[in-house]
Amino acid sequence: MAEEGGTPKVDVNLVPMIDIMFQLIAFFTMLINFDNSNRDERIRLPVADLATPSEMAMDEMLVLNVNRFGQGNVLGELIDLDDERFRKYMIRESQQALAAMKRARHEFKTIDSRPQLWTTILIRADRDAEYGKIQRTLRMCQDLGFYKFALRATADKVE
Amino acid sequence: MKFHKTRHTLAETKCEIEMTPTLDIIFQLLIFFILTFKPITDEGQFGVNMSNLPGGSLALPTVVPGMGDDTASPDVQFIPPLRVLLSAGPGGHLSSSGIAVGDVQLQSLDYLRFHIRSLVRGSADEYEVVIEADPKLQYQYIVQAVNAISRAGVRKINFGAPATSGS
Repeated sequence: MAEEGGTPKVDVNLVPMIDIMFQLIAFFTMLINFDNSNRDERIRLPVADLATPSEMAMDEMLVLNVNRFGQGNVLGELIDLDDERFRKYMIRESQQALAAMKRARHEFKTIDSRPQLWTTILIRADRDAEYGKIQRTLRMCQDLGFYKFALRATADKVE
Repeated sequence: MKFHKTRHTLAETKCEIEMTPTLDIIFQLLIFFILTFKPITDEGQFGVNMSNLPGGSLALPTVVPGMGDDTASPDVQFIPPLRVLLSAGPGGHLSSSGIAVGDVQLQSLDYLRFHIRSLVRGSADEYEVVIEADPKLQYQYIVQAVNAISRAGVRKINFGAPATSGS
């Protein structure tokens, strides 16, 4: 509106704009996912509509991210599942699981002198990965005393 | 000493909040969230009971520990496991008629589901299915086979020794 003898003064109402901004921030804040540490977004999971979301606690899980070339992501480093270093890593994990079970005075069964470990091996393998490598990994884990496994899949038919 | 109240001090002081820095911060937050935003894909999983007998051996009874339940007593199974053979074609894809249950060749994973369902009819919990797949097969077909078997009602799924190509 023009003021008397002066330049026209336009008042912009900022309140609705700030309202919208805050709503957008609230929306994004609620959707942000802080539990991404075990997810490798480069892995394209196989599609299966019956796969159910996990209800197990994460401290009982060991997540194995396996890419399409059959390499596992071990502490940020890609190691072939058939590599000796990967085997050593799994041996360390099994020893740690056993020590944790003993500390917690957790009763466990022993089959063929192998203690049955409480850790669930969660396999997040790429859909194009060779089954042979995963099968050998499962067998190796079994030999180390792991007997609980879970195969990750997605229900979304994307890409 | 005299104090004079001037017109200026008597007038209402107008307090204006500076909006520019607030808006700056809000815009920066908004840009941060937009750039880091990744829609979360729904992930699910299949619990797999791994028999302790190597290769899903036929030796009975097969002790199958309960998935995620250490307190449950292991149940003893007296029914021989159903063996599902998956063979790979070129490029690691499932070959046509690459699914077999015993002597029965199946065309697709849907047929596998129907066939398993007809075999275990009414007593799916008592059965165990052992998947023996070609090592060259893509992992997605294994998960799809697990999906089909789960749809048929079977919960005890195991992985046997890999089947060689053409078997």
